[in-house]
Amino acid sequence: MPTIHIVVDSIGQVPSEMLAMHQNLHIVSLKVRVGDQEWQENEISTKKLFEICQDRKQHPTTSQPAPGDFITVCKPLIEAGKEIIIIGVSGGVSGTVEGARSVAKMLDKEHIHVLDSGTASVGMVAMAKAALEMVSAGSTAKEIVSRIEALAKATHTFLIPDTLEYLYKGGRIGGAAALFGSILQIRPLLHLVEGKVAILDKVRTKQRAVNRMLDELQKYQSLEYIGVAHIDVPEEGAKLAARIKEMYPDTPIVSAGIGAVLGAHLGPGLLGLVFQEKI
Amino acid sequence: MQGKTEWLTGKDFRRMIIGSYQTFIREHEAINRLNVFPVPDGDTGTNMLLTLRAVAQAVKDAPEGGIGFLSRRAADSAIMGARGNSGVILSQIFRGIARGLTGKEQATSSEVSKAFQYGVLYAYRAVSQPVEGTILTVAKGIAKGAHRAVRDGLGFIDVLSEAIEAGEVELQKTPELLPILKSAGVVDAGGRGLLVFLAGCLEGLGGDYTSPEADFAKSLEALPLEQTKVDLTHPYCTEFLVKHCSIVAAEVRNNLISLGDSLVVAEGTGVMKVHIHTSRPGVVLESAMSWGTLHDIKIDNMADQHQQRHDFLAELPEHSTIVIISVAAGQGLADIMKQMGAGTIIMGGQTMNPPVEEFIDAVHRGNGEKYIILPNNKNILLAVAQAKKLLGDRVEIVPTANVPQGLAALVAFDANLPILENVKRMIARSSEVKAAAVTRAVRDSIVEDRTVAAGRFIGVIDNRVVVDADDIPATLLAITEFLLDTEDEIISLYYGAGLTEQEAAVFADTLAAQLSGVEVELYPGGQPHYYFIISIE
Repeated sequence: MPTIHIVVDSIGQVPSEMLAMHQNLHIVSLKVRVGDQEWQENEISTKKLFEICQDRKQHPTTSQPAPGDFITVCKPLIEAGKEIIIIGVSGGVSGTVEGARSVAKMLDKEHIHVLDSGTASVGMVAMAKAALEMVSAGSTAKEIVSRIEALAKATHTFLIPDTLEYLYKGGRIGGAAALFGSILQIRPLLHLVEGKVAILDKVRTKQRAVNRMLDELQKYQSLEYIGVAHIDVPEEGAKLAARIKEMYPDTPIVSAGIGAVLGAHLGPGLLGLVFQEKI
Repeated sequence: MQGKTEWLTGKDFRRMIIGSYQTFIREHEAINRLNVFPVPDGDTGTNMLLTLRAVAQAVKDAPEGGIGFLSRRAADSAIMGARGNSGVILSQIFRGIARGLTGKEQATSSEVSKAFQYGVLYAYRAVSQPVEGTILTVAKGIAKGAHRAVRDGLGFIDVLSEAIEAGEVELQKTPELLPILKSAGVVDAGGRGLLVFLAGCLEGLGGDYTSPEADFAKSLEALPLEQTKVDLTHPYCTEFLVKHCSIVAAEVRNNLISLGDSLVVAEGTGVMKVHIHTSRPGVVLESAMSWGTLHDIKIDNMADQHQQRHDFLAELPEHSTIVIISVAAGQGLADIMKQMGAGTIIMGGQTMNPPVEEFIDAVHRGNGEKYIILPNNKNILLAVAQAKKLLGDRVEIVPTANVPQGLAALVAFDANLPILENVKRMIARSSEVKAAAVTRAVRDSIVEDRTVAAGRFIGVIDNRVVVDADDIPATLLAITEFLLDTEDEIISLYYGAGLTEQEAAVFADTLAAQLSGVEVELYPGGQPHYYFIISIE
């Protein structure tokens, strides 16, 4: 059993086979809620979530893991003398990383390292993979932490929501910004800047927004991977992936999973990219 | 529990927790409405409620035990049940309290107050970069208030009341500490939640208490502006102490209940504290004088507080220092432009060109640092250029020649970018849109070697007649097809004052049926002369 364990929150959507292959990889789940009902992120699909919201005419809300959820995973490991690296969804949009840090202080801040991925989804999975490889290769926690911090800096996240309603109602974007989009079919192209959602551009029609996003992507030539995300629009996702494959024939194009918690803030119809520059 | 509580037992603790949960059930929606910070979810109230529910459940189910044992139960369940940032911080406060009460069967006011200070300490420690103006600031105020009251030798109920009052003072300061709260016109939601929690503890402990902090007016005061338009049927917030009171709290309630709302009667050490919102403060005081002597009388007209809040918010500067002045030829277009971020609309268009003074006036009247003018008509370009000559660098022009260009420019605007950068973007974006209009020929004219008779419907691009037809639908189709390319996706039609909404909808549907692969959208423009202004993107 390796001495360094990796904990990723559920926003990363770590594939189950990856989880099965690594004994030292753990997931801590965020929660999504509609009215009185609450689910762990992976207990409900985005599709089902939006159906329920529509039926009940209620907007979903989400919550970071309780400190106890981190404690349940981390405490036995610390007691067994392990070291832990927690990779959390961007601290600019969630309190998860902050919550994990408070747990580190409660348990053992020497041996629990909390890292802000500055991104979500497959960006977090890539960081977890890198960390696991380094653990196998015998790297120290300190080396792994600095490597992942570098990966976080090289990772970029772009989003085209179908509507700003979800980001606005979830409080992840300001009121003035959300006004746009409600009229004249204006589509915003968003990106994460220092972990926070910011508007890069606004254009009319989704197709133009996609073109605009690909223009941005092309500013980066040497990429480790390109993750393509969609929420319940598989055909649009596949089309986007195909266009990117033509532009970057030699770069791995991967599917970027979005769970119910992230979905609750982005809304159905989202297209997005998470990619990392080679370093 | 009446009067002085020298020892607080496990049973008391249990009643406090259950009381706070019940109070929270009533108050959490109001707290949700305050939420703007730090990661705003609009559900701080719900998150704290769910955290407290876990605590209340655990404490309710716990076997009989001392206050130390129960506070540990509370802390453990809070840590497992915490929701959201505010829940996490609340769980840390519970942890501190449990630490402070470790091993105790019962505790004095002083011990509980100290335990709360531990809670504050833990809460601060939990946050890597503590920000003032949040729940932390309020928690600190509560701890200080409690400390003072303990030093003054008060009983526990009074200590708790003083602590809440001190926290309330800090809560009201939160907008000064955090600009984001000030601009939203609210106090911190987590801080409010913590006070509701304590007020609920007081209620649970005292039985007869409803908390001043949980009451209607105080919550109301902190709501966003739109929500404050309530009629104040009981405008006078009246508070006083009755010393040597001859009747008990329940009788006081019965006597006053018909005189107003938000009634709070708190029995302290030898005094009765009364809080009521009433339209007749004189009658209230008159009755109260028959029960004992009155002290610390305070009467506020809450309507003044409302007014001050309105005035205060009205004075807030605009977030954007760049203001866009946009010319609109109809009310519908004006509304759309405003929604899209135009700060000032000047009415005008093809045959009613606004004079230079109007632009100069708009700049002088406005509160922007800089201005971008969208003329949205070729005929207005000159007036705008003149205005810039007179106003200098404060004003930049994006020379939009028609409404579709103006709207495209508005879409491209980003308040966070410097003005020249914006102008560049807006010009680039406005040149991408294709525009046309449908109107009627007012006189015979020659178009490409043939005569277009007066009264014919014509399709116009850049003031040039391009097509003509017998009716509006045919003209609309012809001009649209003239401009349409395969990569175009969306046709927006702004219908003019000459058409009803129904007529316009029929024409738009007809057009949509004749074209494939493009969306047709219809908006009210309200412009004179043009049946339709058309934009194709």
